[in-house]
Amino acid sequence: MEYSSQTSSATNSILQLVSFTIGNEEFGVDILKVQEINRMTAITRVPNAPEHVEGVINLRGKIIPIIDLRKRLGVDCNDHDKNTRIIVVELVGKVLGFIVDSVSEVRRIPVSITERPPAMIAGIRGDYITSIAKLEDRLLILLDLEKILSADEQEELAGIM
Amino acid sequence: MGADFIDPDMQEIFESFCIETQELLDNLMPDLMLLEQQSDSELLNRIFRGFHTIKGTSSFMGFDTISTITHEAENILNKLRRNEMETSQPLIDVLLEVHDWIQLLLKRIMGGDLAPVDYSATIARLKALNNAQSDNPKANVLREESALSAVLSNKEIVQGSDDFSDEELAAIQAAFAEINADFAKSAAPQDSGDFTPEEELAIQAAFAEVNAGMAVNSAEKEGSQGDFTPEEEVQVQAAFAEVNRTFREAAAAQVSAAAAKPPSKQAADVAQQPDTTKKSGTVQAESTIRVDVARVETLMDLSGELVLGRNRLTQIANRFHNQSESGDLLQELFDTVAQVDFITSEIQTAVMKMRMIPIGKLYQKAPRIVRDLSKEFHKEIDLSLKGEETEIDRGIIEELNDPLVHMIRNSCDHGIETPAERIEKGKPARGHIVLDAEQEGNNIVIRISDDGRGMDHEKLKAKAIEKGLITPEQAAAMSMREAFQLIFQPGFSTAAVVSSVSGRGVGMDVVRTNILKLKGIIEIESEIGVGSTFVIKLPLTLAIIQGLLVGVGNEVYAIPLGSVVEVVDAERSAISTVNLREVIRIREQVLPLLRLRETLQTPYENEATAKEYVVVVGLAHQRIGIVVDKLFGQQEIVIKPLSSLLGSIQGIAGSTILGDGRVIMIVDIAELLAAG
Repeated sequence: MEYSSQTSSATNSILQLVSFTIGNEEFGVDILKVQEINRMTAITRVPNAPEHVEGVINLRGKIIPIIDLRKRLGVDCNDHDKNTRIIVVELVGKVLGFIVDSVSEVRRIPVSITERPPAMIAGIRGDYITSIAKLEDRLLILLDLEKILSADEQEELAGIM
Repeated sequence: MGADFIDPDMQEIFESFCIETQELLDNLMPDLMLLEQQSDSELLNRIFRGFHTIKGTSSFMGFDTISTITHEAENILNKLRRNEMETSQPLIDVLLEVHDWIQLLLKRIMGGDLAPVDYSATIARLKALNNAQSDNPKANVLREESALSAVLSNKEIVQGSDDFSDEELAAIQAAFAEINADFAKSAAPQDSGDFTPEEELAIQAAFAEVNAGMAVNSAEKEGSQGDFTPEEEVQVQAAFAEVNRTFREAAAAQVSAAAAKPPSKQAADVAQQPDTTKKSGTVQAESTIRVDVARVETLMDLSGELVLGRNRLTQIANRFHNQSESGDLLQELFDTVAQVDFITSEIQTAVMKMRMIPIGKLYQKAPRIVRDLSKEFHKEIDLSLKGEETEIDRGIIEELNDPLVHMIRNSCDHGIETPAERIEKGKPARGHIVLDAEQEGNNIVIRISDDGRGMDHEKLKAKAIEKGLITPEQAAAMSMREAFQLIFQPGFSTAAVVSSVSGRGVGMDVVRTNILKLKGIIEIESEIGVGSTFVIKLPLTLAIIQGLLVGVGNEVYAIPLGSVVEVVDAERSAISTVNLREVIRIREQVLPLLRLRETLQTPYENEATAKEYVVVVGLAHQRIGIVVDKLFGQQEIVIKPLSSLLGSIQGIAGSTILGDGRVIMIVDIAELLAAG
């Protein structure tokens, strides 16, 4: 916690991000949140699960849920291909995977080139986005995975009630 | 344990305090119950030590709420221990009350709640008992005697002379008079006399001697001589020595008599349990270690992984075999796989055993409940416990607690009649409840039986119709067994009068819900006038089950084999439609059908399936047919709960990993039955 608050307060500090693509957009998440990146494996469908839950996979003996980030963010879905990856993250003590179209690279970007997000960008709700990084030739959307997850749970709750 | 108020450095000490105190409380309960039947010094000492330890550790931890009340109880126990007080019903009642308070406070502290509770009434009762003049003549004699000795020794030390002043003499005489009176009291009613007749005679003789000496002395005093002659002095002291000695002998004789005294038949029943726990307790102290549950769970998970690994290895070996490669190397692979297979099974069993605890742990509360309830209902009820050593998964034990309490209450309240009623029916006045547990194959069977009034299935049906739970037509079609199951319906209560214990119609509903959750079955056997028996069948463990693997479309699902009644070929069975719902007729039964494909919304590619099977599953008395496409046979599967992120998924009980690494879902039979 302390570490991240320092990085955001010091203007010259560097963010380390894993960047990936979904559709035509490029996104980034904090590298500390990412546990591993896997190729696509067999996903078992979970009947009666919420729509954005793609299913579960066997991650070395642990069964973890897989969320289709593309569906979650409302971006058009491509079929899974050889570039499709599962980004395994640990959020609030739980391990889960996100399906993305491809993983690009690990980037180091200075905090100074990031900006607060507009209310809506590329059809994605603003509160899922931590900030926007302006790269030389394109924009990188930094995602707040915890928000995405908690929104999930909130919606699920709303659905029950 | 969510105790944020504890210093992190103290966390470990706090946790062991909680565990230790809980253990002490668990051990105290049967001891207190035993005290009701018999009182011997060893038992009293054990109880005293229990409370003493709780007082000490809780005050060290700063939990004054616990230490205050424990201190008061300890005061009383100390008097009991020193024979200055006798056990009595109100006394044991209040000690049990203290036990309950400590239990409550401990639970709260474990939950992070340090708020004091108002136990002033209990404290007041403790204090009253503590201050009450004891009626025990023997204790009084002892007290007077010590007072007398004090006067005498005081005389020797302070004055250094042989002279008794008038006041001193008066005090001594008063003391003697009191001793005499007490002694007479003790001698009069034979049953309260703890002295043997010989002892009594000896004491009386000694008293006579002392009295004579005193008389001589006071006679001389009147003759203005005013002091004991040396002879008199010796006489008095000798007499005292005699009295003292007799008392000691009497006390010693009493102790050994108590030890030798065979406990009454009734006490023996109750005594059995503490005795065995005591015995095993001493052995345990040397041969067991305390292990955090979390560590055992980790080991359990890992052994589950090992099972999966083994399954995979076996599959690979079989593939080699199918490719009909041969040679020494292959044989070696097979041998190794076989060995790994064997060892894995052994490890799995060993780890499972680690989670098993004797069901006696569950029984612990039963004697107390029966005691309290028999008082409340003015009934006389004996309780027998059998099969305490039967072992069961600790997860199951925890879930079983509430149902068991409800069933015991039910038996006490509805089952056993009042003594008058029983005598009228020609039964012994005392009712009898038996708790029995045994292992039958892969199941644990628990029976709760009473010799009470039994259940009238016609009455049950009438009641259910009246409550609108069933229609008269349904009632007519019901078998006796099905009628008994009615008592598990929410909102059903057979008691005409709602008592504080049962009769609100929630209890038995909870019983069935909990048992179904544990994948168990509950049945009732009952005969009017003879009694009822509740039979609970539970799986030994919840973590690993036998599963029937079935195929639906391109997906594979596991159905817990314990719930599978039979599998039939769909083509050859009579499937028909009733009220737009598919049913299947198997022999004389008509069962509703459920197509797993539809329930689980399985994506389907080729509509024309070659073959269909119907898996008949059941829980309790409910049966339903499940239509599947393929059967893959049975396999031992390790249940892995779905991530909490997914929440609870309708129709799915969990997941498991197959030998080839594939994840499959386990079907939740209870939910399917509810839906069907």
